[in-house]
Amino acid sequence: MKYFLIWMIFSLVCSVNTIAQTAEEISQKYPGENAVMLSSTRDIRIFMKDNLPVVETKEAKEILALTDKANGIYNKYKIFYGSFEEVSDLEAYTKVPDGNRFKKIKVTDIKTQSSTSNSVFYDDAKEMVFDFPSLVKGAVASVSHTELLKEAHLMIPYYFVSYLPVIHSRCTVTFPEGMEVKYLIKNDENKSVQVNESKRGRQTVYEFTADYQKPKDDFRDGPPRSHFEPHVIFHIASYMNEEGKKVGFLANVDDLYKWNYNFLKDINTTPSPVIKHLADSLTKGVATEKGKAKSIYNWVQEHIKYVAFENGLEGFVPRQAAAVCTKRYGDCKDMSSLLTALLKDAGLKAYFTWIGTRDIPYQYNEVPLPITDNHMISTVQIGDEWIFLDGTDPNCIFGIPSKGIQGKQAMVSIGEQNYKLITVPVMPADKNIIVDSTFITLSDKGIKGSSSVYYNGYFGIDAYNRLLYRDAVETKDFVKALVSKGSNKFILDDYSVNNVSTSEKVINFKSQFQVPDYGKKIADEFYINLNLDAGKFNLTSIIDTAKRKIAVDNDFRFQSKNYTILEVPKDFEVSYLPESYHYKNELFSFNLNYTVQGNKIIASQDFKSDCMMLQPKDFSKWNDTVNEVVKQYKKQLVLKKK
Amino acid sequence: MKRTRSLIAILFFSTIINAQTFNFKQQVAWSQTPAIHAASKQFTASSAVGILDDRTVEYKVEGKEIYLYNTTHRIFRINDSKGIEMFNKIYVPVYKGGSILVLKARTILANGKVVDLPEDKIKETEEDGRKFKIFAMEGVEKGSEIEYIYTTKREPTFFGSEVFQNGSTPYESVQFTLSVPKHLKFDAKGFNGFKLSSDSLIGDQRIIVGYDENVHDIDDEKYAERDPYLKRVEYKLSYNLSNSEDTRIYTWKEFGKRIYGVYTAITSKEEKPVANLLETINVGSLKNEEAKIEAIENYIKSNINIDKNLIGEDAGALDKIIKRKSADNEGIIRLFANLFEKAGINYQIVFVGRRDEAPLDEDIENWNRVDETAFYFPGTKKYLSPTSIEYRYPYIPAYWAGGRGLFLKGTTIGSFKSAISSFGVVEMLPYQNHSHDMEVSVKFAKNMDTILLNSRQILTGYGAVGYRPIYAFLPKDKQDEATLEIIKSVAKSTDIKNIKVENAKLTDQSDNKPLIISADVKSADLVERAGDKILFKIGEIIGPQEQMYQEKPRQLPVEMPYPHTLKRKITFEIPVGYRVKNLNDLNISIVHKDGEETTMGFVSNYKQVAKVVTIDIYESYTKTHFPLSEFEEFKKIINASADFNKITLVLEKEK
Repeated sequence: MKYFLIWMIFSLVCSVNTIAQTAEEISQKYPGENAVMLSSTRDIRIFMKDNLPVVETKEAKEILALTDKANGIYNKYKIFYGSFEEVSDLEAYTKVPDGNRFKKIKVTDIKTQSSTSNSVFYDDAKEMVFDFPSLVKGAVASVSHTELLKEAHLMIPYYFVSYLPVIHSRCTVTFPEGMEVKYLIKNDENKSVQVNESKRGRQTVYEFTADYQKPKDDFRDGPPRSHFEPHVIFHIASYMNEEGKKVGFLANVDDLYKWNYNFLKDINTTPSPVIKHLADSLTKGVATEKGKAKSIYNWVQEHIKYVAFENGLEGFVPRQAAAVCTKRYGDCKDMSSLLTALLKDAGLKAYFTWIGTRDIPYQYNEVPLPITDNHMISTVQIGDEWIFLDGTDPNCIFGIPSKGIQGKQAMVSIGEQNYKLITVPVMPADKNIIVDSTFITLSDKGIKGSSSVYYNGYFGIDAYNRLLYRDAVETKDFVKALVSKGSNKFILDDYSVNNVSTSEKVINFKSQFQVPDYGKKIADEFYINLNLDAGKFNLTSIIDTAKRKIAVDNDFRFQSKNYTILEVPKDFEVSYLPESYHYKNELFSFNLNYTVQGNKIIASQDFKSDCMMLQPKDFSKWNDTVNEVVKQYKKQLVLKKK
Repeated sequence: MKRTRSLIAILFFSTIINAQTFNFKQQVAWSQTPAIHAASKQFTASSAVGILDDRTVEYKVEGKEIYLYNTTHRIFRINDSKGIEMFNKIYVPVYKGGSILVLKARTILANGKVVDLPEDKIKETEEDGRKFKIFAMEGVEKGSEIEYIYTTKREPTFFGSEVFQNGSTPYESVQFTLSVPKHLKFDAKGFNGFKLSSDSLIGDQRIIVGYDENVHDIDDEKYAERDPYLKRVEYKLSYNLSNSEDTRIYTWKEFGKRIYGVYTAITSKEEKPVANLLETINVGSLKNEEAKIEAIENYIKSNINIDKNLIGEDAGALDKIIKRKSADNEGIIRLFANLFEKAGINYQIVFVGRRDEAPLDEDIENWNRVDETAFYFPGTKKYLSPTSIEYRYPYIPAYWAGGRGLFLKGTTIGSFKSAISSFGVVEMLPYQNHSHDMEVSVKFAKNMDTILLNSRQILTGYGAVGYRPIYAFLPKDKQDEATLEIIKSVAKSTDIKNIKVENAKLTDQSDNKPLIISADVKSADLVERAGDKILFKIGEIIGPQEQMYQEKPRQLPVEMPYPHTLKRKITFEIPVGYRVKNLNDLNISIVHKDGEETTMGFVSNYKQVAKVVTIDIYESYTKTHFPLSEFEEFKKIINASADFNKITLVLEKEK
């Protein structure tokens, strides 16, 4: 017994020293960092219960405080879980250095509360939250818990990074004989993830490890982490049932479809007079199939407001079309249900459709899993054409996809056994175009003029959407922000918002304005920069390639044309006209032309971006463009008194 | 304030209740046959209009207990899509230990059809620790009305406030009813034009009613705080007539005594750890009181995790705080108070009225209004914030200063600790302490396309308070990024060398050492060409400035976080062979005086000696508050700096 005690003390001393030493090394590796995660592990065990696979996960983290500041910054810890997970065995404590040993201070109070998200009005997600005590320099905070996943289809990927730099990151998956588990490693260009497959008795173990993982800096205009941080995705492809027969689980797109379809089987199965009546009234007198579909789509866009309830299976099963119709609200699934039902009752070929928005980096044929989609729409087939109808966008143009699903695979539910994967088109730049014509004259102090701007395509949709939620006062602020040019001294006088085509979402803003102090009049000369919109579309912002390691996510490809027409006063003449300029690379093009027509000088600019997700490898193409644009923007026109 | 509420619950049991039953009638009934209300002429441009906001606060005696019933009845007219979004999701608060007795909601469509909310659609959720019943209104369309009513029942608190105005929705009619058993006498006060009746006895209930009509919404405005100006009522129990007709209860005096006891009390279990801690801080070795205050504050704020949302039942016990190095707000206030006590520092506890919230009112002793706590040291006449870790004595959050606060001065009666309460002004540190200064020297590079700058940004007082946490709490790489951003504001360029950051420690705040961020910058951004002329956008050196060129009619007076000055000195070397055509543009002078004293202004002028032009700019706001009548002047001064920002010098070759 005594011997044992000595050994205990020895081992404690040993670990204090080891950790102290490690702490020094780590501090050098991460200068200025207040804490690191010594280890982050997830051990997943899949086993059979009641003839079905069950997933049990043990998660553990160890946080080392490198400075005293960690106490105050990293104490709060949260564990999130939903209705499909059961959390147990949560244990947390801090080991605090105390002379040559560690003193263990346990976390005694843990609070369970709702975990709210902005986009969902009500969901059943919960969080367990607690505070690590005494996170002083050299202290190690530990937390571990077990999670039982009640629905094995919903296994989530493992990310090797965390909110702190991770020294050692490990995930294992252990599963029984006869079961097949597949995995896929994403975003590991540097090959930092080590994979080891081994047998432990009749169990197979996959082990994934990665050391010294630091999260990449996040940017507001960047994609979510799934696009760039290393992670591993797993799924159970098949298992052996009690009879020793191999049963397919989630091996391929067919399996995923089967699982998805299960949520639809009781939806809109009985005819609803409410829906039929509405479908009839919306399509009465409309001759073409497209016309009918459009009328129905527009009605749903206008009348059904987005409100999401996510409560267990509510997160997967659409509500009955008739109920959505009376309530006048719903989430994407509900709108998809109503759209599909109305379209079918109008005699069209309409289908429930699952899709992942552009936030999700996966496509079904590569990752045939529930994590690949987060959205539902309705797809209608008219002749050979597939038209994707997203009920959640109140102003999307009929016939073009909502901007968030461009380029993604849609899983169109044709019938119980039958589905199609169709790739949603990406809209070309010239469909999303802004055309701005601005006439200016010189005033006593600065410039005054008028402008007329047309927004088309996704620009038009965005403008309609933003105006939808603005009252009269807010509309003026919005218009001012849109048409503002020259400098922040821009004064908006009269303006009008003209809905040129509500069906094609073309919108026009006309304005009268002044910009005091714009341009410079000295003695008999006048200097003016005709690039009144310099800075729009970030065209003067260089991407810091040393700092930014993640893509820039533009919602869509686009084009912008500006015509600035200056009337030269009678007693002035042009003394210097900047030269015209053209630039083009694979992704961006920029043209700037200066011409003189009678007493008018026309500066016309055409910028085109053929890029949605600008990857770091292409940053130079953007920066080259900006460097050229900035040089051109610096050139001012000079007028001289005759 | 949690502590106050639990205290009130304790106090309550000493109140004798005159038990009687009575019936209460709802002010505006829930109509069995609701109809669409005629649209008023006013507020037609609003997305939604409140037709009614009727709130009843009722204290009821039931057996030997007294309960608080709150009823809210609201009707909204929905005018557009934004209106639908604003009101198709409803949150009803569920008070701790309370229950909801009635909850009804319906949509009345333009055609008169009524869509009732099914009860099973009501869910419960929690946000920031508060529980709510939530539901989505069904069938809502433009032109429809939304109506809901709910009644909650809970253990009573004898203080309250109802705000009847906000930033987004106007109301045609707002009503308030306070109904209490006749043996209780409440005081109520209406603010910002909210009208109240005096109390009258109706049956066994004493009733106060308040109302207003056509209450407009108050938009967000720059340099303004809306909350103090909203129409509201505050109420509190002042007499228990069954006890005594002339003993006023729940006074500020009483509050001071009680709270002071709570904060300064120490248990025998806590004594030793606190004494040991004081020894660790080594306060005894310090002679001067200010040094002792600073040492205690810095030790606590650097070593203890102060978190108002700390999870833990006994987060307030001093021995636990010291052991676990974690405390909630009340715990840390107690720890400070006891350390000051033991260190022999003369201190007072101050409950500050924030300038950006409804103020503490001397007449209506609403204990619930008490929120933030500071310490005041009569010896130095300065303050300390126990809960804000990024502040160091004598700086407290700027909005805590400049308003009125309740000061508790400790006394000892025998062995019993008590306090004398009085209202006073929480003085703002004078404007000379707070500056955003800069010194920049500029010259052109040989190629004439680039300028070379040496830039020093010098921040003091509250001017530095916002920046120091960057250096105190962020990892080094994030600190560097932030420093670059700060320097970039001078000349936009990222070509920056010789970066130096001085006096960035939080403790440098105490003796107001200037935080200096300096660097050499090479920038092509401020130079443009017009033929053979060079245009130098010298104004951009002072960085982008807030502007108020096109404002809507102003509703609120000016409120700034803190008074301050901005002294900027720009030295510019005119390149050889060039001359500047328009140096006179650099002269600007707009000042506003209050009597002899300049209270705000923007003055810029230049001197030229040989080829060197020196520009001195002095911008100042010596007060935090400027009345509405001075708004036009204020706007001119704000815009003067924005105008300076646009100054471009034209350089031409000397002939």
